[in-house]
Amino acid sequence: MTGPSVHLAVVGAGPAGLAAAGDASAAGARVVLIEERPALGGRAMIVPGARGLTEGLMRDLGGTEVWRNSAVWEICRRTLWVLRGDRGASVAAGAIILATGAREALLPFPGWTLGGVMSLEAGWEAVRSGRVGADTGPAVVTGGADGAILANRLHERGVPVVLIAPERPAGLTAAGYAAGVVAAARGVDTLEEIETADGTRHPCAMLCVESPRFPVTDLARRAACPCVYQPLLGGFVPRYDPLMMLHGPTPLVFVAGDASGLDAPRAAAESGRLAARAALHALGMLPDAEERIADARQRLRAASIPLHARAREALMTGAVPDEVVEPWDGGSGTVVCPCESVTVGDLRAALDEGARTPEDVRSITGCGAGVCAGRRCEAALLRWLSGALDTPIGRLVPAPVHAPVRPVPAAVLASLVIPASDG
Amino acid sequence: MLGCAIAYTLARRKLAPIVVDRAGPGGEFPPVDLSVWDHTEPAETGRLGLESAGHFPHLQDQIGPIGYLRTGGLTPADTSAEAEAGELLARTQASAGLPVRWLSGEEALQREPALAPTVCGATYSPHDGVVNPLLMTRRLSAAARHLGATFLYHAGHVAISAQARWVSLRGAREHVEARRVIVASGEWLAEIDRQLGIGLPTRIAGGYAVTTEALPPLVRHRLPGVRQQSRGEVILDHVGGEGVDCAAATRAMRGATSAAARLVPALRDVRILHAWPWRATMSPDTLPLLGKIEEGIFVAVPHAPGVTLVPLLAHAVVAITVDGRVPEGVQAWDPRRARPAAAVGGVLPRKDSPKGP
Repeated sequence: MTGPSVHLAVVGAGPAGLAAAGDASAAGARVVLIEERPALGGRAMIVPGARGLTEGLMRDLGGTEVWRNSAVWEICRRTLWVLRGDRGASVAAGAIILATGAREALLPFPGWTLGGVMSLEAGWEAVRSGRVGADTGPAVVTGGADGAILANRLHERGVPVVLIAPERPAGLTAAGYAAGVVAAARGVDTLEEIETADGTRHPCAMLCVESPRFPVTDLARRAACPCVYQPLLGGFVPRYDPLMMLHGPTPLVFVAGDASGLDAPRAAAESGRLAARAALHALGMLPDAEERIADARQRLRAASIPLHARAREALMTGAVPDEVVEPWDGGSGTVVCPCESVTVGDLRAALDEGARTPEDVRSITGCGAGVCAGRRCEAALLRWLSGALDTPIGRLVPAPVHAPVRPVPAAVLASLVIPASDG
Repeated sequence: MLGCAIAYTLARRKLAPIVVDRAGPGGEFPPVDLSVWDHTEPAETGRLGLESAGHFPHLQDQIGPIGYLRTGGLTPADTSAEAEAGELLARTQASAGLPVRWLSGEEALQREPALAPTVCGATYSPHDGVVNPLLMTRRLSAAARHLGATFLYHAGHVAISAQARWVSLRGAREHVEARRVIVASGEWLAEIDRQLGIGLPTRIAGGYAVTTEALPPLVRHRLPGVRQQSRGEVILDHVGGEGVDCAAATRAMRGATSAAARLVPALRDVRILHAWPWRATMSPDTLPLLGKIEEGIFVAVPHAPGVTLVPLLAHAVVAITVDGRVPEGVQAWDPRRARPAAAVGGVLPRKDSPKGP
């Protein structure tokens, strides 16, 4: 059950995690890279133009020990508790980099919880894993340029596909196109058709909806790091310093990549390098540290989308982000929390009863207390509350994240050996 | 929840109470079913607990579904020493008039087939049960509101000061003056105690409610630290570790799952989804605090984070506050029992200069 002691543990094997692990490994550090999925590369493997970068980073992993199919379910100081397949493990590290990426989350609309309704990212996963083809039924894709690329790929796989968007995206080649906006998905348990705002119906078995992406902050929040809302960086992001080290009670816990704020894949990789160099410097393992850290910072700035770079710099210096209300609303019957079947009507009732915070709403309705622990509903809930209370979203405090951040078999927990240093 | 129950009891008597809460509604409990009555409680509190538990069905009739279910409770014994102690407990409880009896191992397994086959007996009572605390709190507050109660949530820090005839509660947004104030929250009690310098010793207890994924029906009764909700999740209790230590949740999950798997081996093969932390402030002797602490200020704090005594405490504190009558059997819960002699009769601060926490 107990695992290795390493200089550096990196959680997440997207460009940021890969770059961090490779850089630290090249500097002579003992590194473990922990990835929840079977394959490395994360979302970058499906983003046009980022695949080459990611494959290059994979080749540079050096002596990094890679744990695939491994989910971190708790962080306690600088110890990570991991589920490796169906076995438990722990890693004690001199420093930790959380490169947990971002998650595309559907904003609720009528029928969004039906089987077959998914984000573009999930659509790409289906394509990559070969789960779609001519016999899987027709598909509808919504969105702009990214949606068009997915629609083209589905068409190549023999799927009858229509892209629905207000305007035809430039990149759409072979797939069909219909002007409009998807208003509802219909079916019994699984998707059968969608209806657009003008009442047109399209039979389909798969609906891929372009959706906003949000930094994954579960582990940073479990590490007691405060979060701030920065819309340019994708939403709530953990506070960190110019060396990507998290604010919080435990030093030497860093964040990198989209988990620190959405940016270009190359910027994610550079932020991983910066975090790795800062970590190794703190551990006394990096010669020419100042020079190499300055180099990494410069490369991060150069690779970033300019507005995102400015937002990140402001965050690092502690500037208060703009206060914005980003309302989202739906009909009373629209499900917000699929795990607990909480609807917009339930949220309104909770407000009538005195709820004013996400935690109040969770207490009253169970919204976010289900199997997924709020991963599917938190973004929508925060936006809905922001609009309903006419309160800037940044002034809302997301409900606390409780352990475990991933489900864990009881047998694994029952056989845990908890090091004395953890309490 | 107790505040809502008191408000409901007062509102039924047309007394239009005002409920002030530092936080939002329902936040004190983890979102899981809690036990109602534990047949292994010492006979004295057990009797009052049983009386209080008897209110739950009526309450459910009055205010609507609160998830109350009388499941019955079993406390199994694994060894002959535990069996001996269990048989003695069953005899003691029965002789005190409590509906508790001893089952053989075979009888225990017949009632609860999921138990480990090594069980060699169990104490049993049909009166143990469960209730959904969040549902109960919502129903109580809605019913109280309907009868004229007012709820002021998110009051934040509240300064309390007492004068001859009025008690003043001053928060960031609200200012309430009342002839009588009932403190029905342990956390408030500690803060108000600091402000008024009364000197009521309190202690903080904590733990975790560990939740499994939803399972087919597995556990019929309330077992020690194990109960199954109607939707299928099994709740495993762990007492201890107030959440200040980051390893506390991990330790709690390990402790709760190990203990539960010894009782019900099938629980070894399930997944754990959540470890909900809870904290409660209570008296050092773990008995409830019930009665007057200063002129115009009364206290009603349960003996544990449980909900069993909520109906009884609500009725009792209303009897004390409104009727000036201390109900039979609750005298031992007088809050002044826990008060250091030097603090008794201390001077109250002036209204305009309340002590901060």
